[in-house]
Amino acid sequence: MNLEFEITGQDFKKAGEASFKVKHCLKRLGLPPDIIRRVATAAYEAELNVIIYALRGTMRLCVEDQCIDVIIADVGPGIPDIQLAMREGYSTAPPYVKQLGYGSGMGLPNIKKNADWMDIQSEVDRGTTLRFKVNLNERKKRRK
Amino acid sequence: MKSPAQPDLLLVLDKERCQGCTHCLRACPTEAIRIRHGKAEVMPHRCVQCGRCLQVCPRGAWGVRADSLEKVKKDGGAVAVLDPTVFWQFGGQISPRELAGAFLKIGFSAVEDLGEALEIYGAAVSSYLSSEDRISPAIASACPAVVQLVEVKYPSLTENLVPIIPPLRILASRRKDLGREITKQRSFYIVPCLAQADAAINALGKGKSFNGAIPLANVYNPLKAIVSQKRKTTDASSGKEPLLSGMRWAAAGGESEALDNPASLVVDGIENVANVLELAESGLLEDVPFIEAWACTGGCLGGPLTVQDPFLARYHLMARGRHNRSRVTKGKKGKVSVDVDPFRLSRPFVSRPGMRLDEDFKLAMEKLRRIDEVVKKFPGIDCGSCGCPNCLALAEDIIQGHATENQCFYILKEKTARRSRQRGRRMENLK
Repeated sequence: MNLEFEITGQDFKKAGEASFKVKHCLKRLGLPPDIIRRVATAAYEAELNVIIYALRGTMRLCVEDQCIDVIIADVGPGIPDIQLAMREGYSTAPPYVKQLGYGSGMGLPNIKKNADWMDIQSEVDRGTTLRFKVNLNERKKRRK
Repeated sequence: MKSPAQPDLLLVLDKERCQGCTHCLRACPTEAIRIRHGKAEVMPHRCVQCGRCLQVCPRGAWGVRADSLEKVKKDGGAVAVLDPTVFWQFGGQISPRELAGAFLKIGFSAVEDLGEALEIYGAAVSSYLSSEDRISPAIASACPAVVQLVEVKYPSLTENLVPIIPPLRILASRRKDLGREITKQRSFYIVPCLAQADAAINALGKGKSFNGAIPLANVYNPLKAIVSQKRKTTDASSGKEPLLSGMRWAAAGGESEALDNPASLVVDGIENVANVLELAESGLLEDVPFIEAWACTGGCLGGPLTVQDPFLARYHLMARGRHNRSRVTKGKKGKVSVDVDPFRLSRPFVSRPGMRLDEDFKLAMEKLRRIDEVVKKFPGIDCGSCGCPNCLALAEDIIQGHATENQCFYILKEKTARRSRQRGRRMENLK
């Protein structure tokens, strides 16, 4: 199964809408609470990255027998150094975004923490494709 | 004639009053209502008993199946168990003793209130929040409608609910400790809302602790008559008695005030609660230690079965100050503290699959895919004319076999226009 949702860059008013729709779908499928929580958290962070940095993007939700696969593809500036971007607290968000309470540099690390697998492909001045999976049959222990 | 919507749902609809408008349809936080054949219907597996439908209905068609004062009088009196909300219905001048007196006059044989149970509950919540194994953000479980909302709509947050025995059950078990004399007497809980009535009647087991629940609105008028009479004669002495503990729990913020917890997020009104829970579900509130959430605006003071305006009631509550007299410590100074373990719920909260499309995961996926196709046909203006709260809900109902495409006015209009164009063309061909 494959569903796609649009994300518009700089549209902070709609922040969370695409990941809300993803969450809605997972609840309709009756998935275990802890899977919903992890996908929702990771999807929200990924959506915000598109809103903060990119022009536009899409979030595609694929539900397979073994896992939830989410692909967020955007058209935007891309990430020059992915390793650096993965570091906790590293952020290139402009000050006005930080004033809104976003862009604290925890997005990508947070996705990694919640997903069972993640991958980033990026081309400078073209865009970024982030993909993460959450396995359905294996449960991570909830952190306190 | 009122008919129960479902055996264990206390919500009832007066079909003669219901005109099939869309007020409740849109207000329901779990999309549990549909308009079918011109009348509202509720899906029991989704209803969280928040009572929003009661509050927004312009014709008062929604009601509660509950007990009346006549039932109390007929069987020779009973114990009235008062919710703190009751106290604030009569302005700021009445004393707890006067209120109890008024209850005796209208036919009850004794009066108890939830204050002491709330004090113990608060102390147990406090020690849970400072324990090692708490989950952040902890979500208050004092409002039964919020608990049900989490169970149905936010399944991933069920383990965040504070796992403490609710105040009503603490009261019930304390009554048992007091011996047969008290348990023999019949008792009725005077409730501000549907969810509390349900908690007293269904969740605790019928007849086990309470013999029933009486909506606050049903006893308001006779009480008011007595209270206002009394005020004329005893004006000088009233209002001087210290406020008993637990009374401030009636307003949103009352719980946090009772806890040793400096930082808590207080949210009231079911829509606002839903928004905050949405944030919590996306992992954005992990640095918030405690969320005090109430389904009604202003807390229990805004309950659908109360009479006094919740803001005026809160004004009286604030004006009365914080002169709480603890009953657990018998008025001595110092906070009540209890060991959390005896008050932990033996069975924690579990999610209810109210929003699930199908038990079978594969079938659910297939349905979700088809819903995504069908919903594109609709205009997306969520007008509610089809009897569903929004276009997506109509698409879901169609795939579930509960609705048809023609329920959508826009589709029907298009179809009729197309048909008349075709007919016109046929007529021209005949010429």
